[in-house]
Amino acid sequence: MTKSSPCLNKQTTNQQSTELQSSNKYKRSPAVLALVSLLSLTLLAVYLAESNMALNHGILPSSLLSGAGLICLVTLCTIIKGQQIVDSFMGLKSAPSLWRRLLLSYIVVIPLLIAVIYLL
Amino acid sequence: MCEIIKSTPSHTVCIQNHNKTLPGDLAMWFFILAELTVFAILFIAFAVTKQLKPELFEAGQATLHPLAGLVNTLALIASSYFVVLAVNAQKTGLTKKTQVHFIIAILVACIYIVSKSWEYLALFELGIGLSTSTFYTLYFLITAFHFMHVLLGMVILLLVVFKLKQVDSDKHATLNTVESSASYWHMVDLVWIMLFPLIYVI
Repeated sequence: MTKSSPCLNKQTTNQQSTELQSSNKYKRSPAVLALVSLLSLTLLAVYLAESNMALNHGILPSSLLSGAGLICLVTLCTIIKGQQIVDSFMGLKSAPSLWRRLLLSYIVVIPLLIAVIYLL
Repeated sequence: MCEIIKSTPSHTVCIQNHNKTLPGDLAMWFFILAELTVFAILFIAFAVTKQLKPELFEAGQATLHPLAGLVNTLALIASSYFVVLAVNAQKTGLTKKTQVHFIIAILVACIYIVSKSWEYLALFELGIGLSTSTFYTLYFLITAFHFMHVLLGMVILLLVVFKLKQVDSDKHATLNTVESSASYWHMVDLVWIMLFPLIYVI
């Protein structure tokens, strides 16, 4: 990969600018996808929690999830939402991997730790 | 450091790895990590205390309004989306568009401010305050701390809107400022994403 091939900077400058111009048109779509997934996961988590609460109060005869299952699914939703914000909103997908990993470690470790505390 | 983008039989075209840069100012990222650490400690304290006093916390959570929490979440996510659009606009040199998107983001964030203030007022009317119980102490501490971060974020976005009005400002420095303020705003959103299920959902 790092063999002594020449870096043709002048040729690539035009190619790069063309690629950047075309990619700018599609920059909005990853953000839209992230927005839709964030909204959907939020609504899903609230729906599950509300149906579980209704079950506990005897309003609903059954719920999709309860107890540990609810905690695990809500935690998973939180981690996915955090990853969407870090990668798509903060733009760390194209940042140095150390910083991306550092931020992702927060949004994975903290919800998991809280879930473990609740499940113990 | 060379990253191959195209290989032909005659030569290999490669470019320097320019894209792997951190958006905004490095100092802002250290600040974000520090803020996330403080919130992480508060969240873990809330979870541990809930395990120690489950009945007290369940009774406290029953007095909260999950719908208001949902509205707050949706408002912050939508606001963050407009901030993303503002950064994209600034990258393509559309300063006016950046300003418009930032203003929309601030206006959407106002929904959060109104909703959260209403929640606080509703609790105060019930005679509930910071010292009512351990649950409310932690609830007010965490949510009010986040509330102040949202207010600060809105002020920062507003200041950037005014800064962008200066036509003769350095383009690179301006993009850096826009990205730094956007990163701070997304951090506020990220914190709420973890705070919302912890306090309102589970």
